Amino acid sequence: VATIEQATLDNGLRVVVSPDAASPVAAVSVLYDVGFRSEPEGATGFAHLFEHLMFQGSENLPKGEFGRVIQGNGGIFNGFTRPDATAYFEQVPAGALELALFCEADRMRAPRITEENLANQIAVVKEEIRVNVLNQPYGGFPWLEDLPQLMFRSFPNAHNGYGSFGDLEAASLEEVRGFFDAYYAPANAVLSVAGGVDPDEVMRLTTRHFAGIARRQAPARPSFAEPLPDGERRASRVDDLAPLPAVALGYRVPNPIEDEQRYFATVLLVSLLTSGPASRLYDRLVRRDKLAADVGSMWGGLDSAWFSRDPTYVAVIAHYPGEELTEPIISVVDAELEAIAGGIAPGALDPVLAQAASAHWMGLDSKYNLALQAAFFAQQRQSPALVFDLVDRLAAAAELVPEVAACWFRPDRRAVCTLVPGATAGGASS
Amino acid sequence: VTVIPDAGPLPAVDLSDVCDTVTSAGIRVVAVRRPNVPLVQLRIHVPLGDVAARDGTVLRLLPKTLLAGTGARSGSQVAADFQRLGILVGAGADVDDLSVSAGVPAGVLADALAQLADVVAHPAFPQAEVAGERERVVQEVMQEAVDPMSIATHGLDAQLFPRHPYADPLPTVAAVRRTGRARLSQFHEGRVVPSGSVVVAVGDINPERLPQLVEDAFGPWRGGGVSGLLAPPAPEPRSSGVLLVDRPGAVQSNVRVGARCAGRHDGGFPALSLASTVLGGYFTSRLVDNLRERHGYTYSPRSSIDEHRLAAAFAVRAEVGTEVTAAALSEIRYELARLATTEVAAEELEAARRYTSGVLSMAAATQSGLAGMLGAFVSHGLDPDYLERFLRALSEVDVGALAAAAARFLGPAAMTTVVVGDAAVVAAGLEPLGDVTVVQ
Repeated sequence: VATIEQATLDNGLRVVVSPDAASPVAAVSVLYDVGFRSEPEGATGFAHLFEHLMFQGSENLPKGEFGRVIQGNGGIFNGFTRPDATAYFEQVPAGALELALFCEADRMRAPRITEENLANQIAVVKEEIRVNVLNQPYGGFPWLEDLPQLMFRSFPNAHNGYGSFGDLEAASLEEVRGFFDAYYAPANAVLSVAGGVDPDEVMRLTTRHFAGIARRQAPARPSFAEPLPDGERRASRVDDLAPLPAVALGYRVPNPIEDEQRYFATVLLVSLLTSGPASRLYDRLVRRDKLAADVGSMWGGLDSAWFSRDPTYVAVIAHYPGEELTEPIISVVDAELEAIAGGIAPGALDPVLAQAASAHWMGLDSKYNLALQAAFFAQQRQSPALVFDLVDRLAAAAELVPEVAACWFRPDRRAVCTLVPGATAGGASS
Repeated sequence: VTVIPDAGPLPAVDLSDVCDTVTSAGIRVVAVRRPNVPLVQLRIHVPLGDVAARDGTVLRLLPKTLLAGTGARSGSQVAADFQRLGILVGAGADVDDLSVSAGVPAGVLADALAQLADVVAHPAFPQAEVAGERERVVQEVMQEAVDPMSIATHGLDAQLFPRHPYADPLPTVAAVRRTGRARLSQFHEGRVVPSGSVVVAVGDINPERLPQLVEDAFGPWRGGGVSGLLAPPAPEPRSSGVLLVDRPGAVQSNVRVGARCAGRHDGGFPALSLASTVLGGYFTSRLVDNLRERHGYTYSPRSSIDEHRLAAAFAVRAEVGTEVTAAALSEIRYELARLATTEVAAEELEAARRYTSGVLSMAAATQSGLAGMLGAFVSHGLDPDYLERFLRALSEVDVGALAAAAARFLGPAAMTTVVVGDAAVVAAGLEPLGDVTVVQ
């Protein structure tokens, strides 16, 4: 039986261990409770830029040494920034557990960031934005600006988390130090370890490397709450690089933590609608009515339904051959939602749950994925063990699916954002 | 003084328990028990035979239409059956293989194999479904045609595999619209045949049972004798010239520098693969250190070796700011020249070796990682224990062998350069690096 052990160090660092004696790897994840929602005005993109800076060297590891030590011992590493969290992770051979803990502790204690490295990473982040957004058909649609700006009114929820070039270029070392002091305290982080490790040994090594980091007050998390939209909101933008139109229908969703049962039901509903070729919207929009080339979904926390706190949203996204199909596509989505709101047959969600279970097990076979998921559940829900009974919990929320469809997925509360091909792409593709 | 902790040994990979058999229809079954989680990962590869009649349009349509209905079941029934059993399925095709992958709950393995055999062996290519999938391929082709990274990849492949299907050019919209169910049926009948196919199963299974389960699932499906591929001749390198694909207004340039190189069947491959890793195969590489961490020219420069069954190609890829295009290309060529003409430090080789070995061993510890590698290797004519042999070969590469591989394959004189970018802005800067040929 899979278990999870937890402890908290005196400096407030929470430690979560998911052991699997049969695994030859150790995965380590450190999740800081800060994301782009916490950026002040004038500092868009700062949380993500800071994530880059955490790889630029620390007290005992000069620039480049972090990568050389982890990768040069057979490991992989990466990091990512989301609205409510910044994640760092390594997966190494099990024998290198202490090495990975040492590296994470060194930069939690004392990152070493210089003017030169700051300027270098500002340039790198600008190229990241160019390759992923500015030079890319559909770049950033709809997650970066389109939906956040349509669905939210306050700066923390609505702004572009990659940041403007102007804000990035204005970032200073003083702000870097201030951000670190405010948000990178041990008490504002979760350390999650998974794989072929002994929990007692993890606790011993964690104490050795992290306990000496001074306690600092974790920042109080402000409320980012916003009222639900009081009517449908619509916007459209031209993408000069895109050859086909696209539409994103954004819906605010129940509070992922405080209204957990309804949020679980929301996850099931979105799977029923958009997950794979057996889903209702694929069957209607793609297979039968042939209105769209594809249909899918995206969560406000981006890659996963489990990365964001309230307020957040989910989007249904479709690409299709001509703008005249926008309204027919929206009508089909409305009709399918209305049908579900009217009630679903007993067992109708069983196939959705069967595939969700397989996907879930596949995810848990990857130890860095397990460590990350446990870290998010520990940080945002104080329940890391949810990684092991997630599918059962989803199943238990099945009866709420029609209610969620009726109350939350209403046309008068949604946002509709369309992307229209520009002259350049239209000319090139015909 | 703070001492950095030791890392300990890399995970061992032991594939001595792999069960390797061939069914009466000639399907090779490679099965291994890894009960990490209660699933089975299946990988089915069907070699598509001689390239003479290969058609990129069919290769794009075939994997989609395969799942769109069989003699016995409609497309929506196929999808519903997979979903009901919790089976996650994907299908794809390249010039070498048709491939189907599936993640399956261990308890429904026999049913899953039967459903997968039905779509692989008995697709019906229903008229309405084919028409729908064809329009979806049209839309994919339109999207790929304007995607700068895709333009760059096609541009380099056209140079490295001239007039060979491995160039895999983007089909025209008209060609896609001309492809109907008759063409798909004919292609499937002639080329999607059991003899020479591979089924890999990794997971919570009894591997001894797999051959009979595969035998039962595929039933009387028979066929084979598709003739072998013809290896593409090596092209003349373009050396210092730059092929510049114009994208007016582009804010970045997509730089590709590549050459044909040895594949896994060549004894020099382990050293070559470590050379590519040192150059740009991981974050600790020379290209990342130079182009990203020192110059800030690019986010994610990299080098890799793309393998086909009968040929391999090395490529450096970097998406760089328009204003630094020539400077970035100059640094890439410098790093290629340095690797091809001077020895790497022993610790640089050791880091690349431990990284490559560690990543492969950790991937082999997951069901999907091991299934993916076994499928790729066995379908390319290697044995199931290839991964173990490759790891041993990596451990034997020394500085001299790496230098020899780099000198043989990675020198700038062997390279072809393709840049996709705003010609009006970048062409003049590129002139000192070689003759610039601008194409629209």
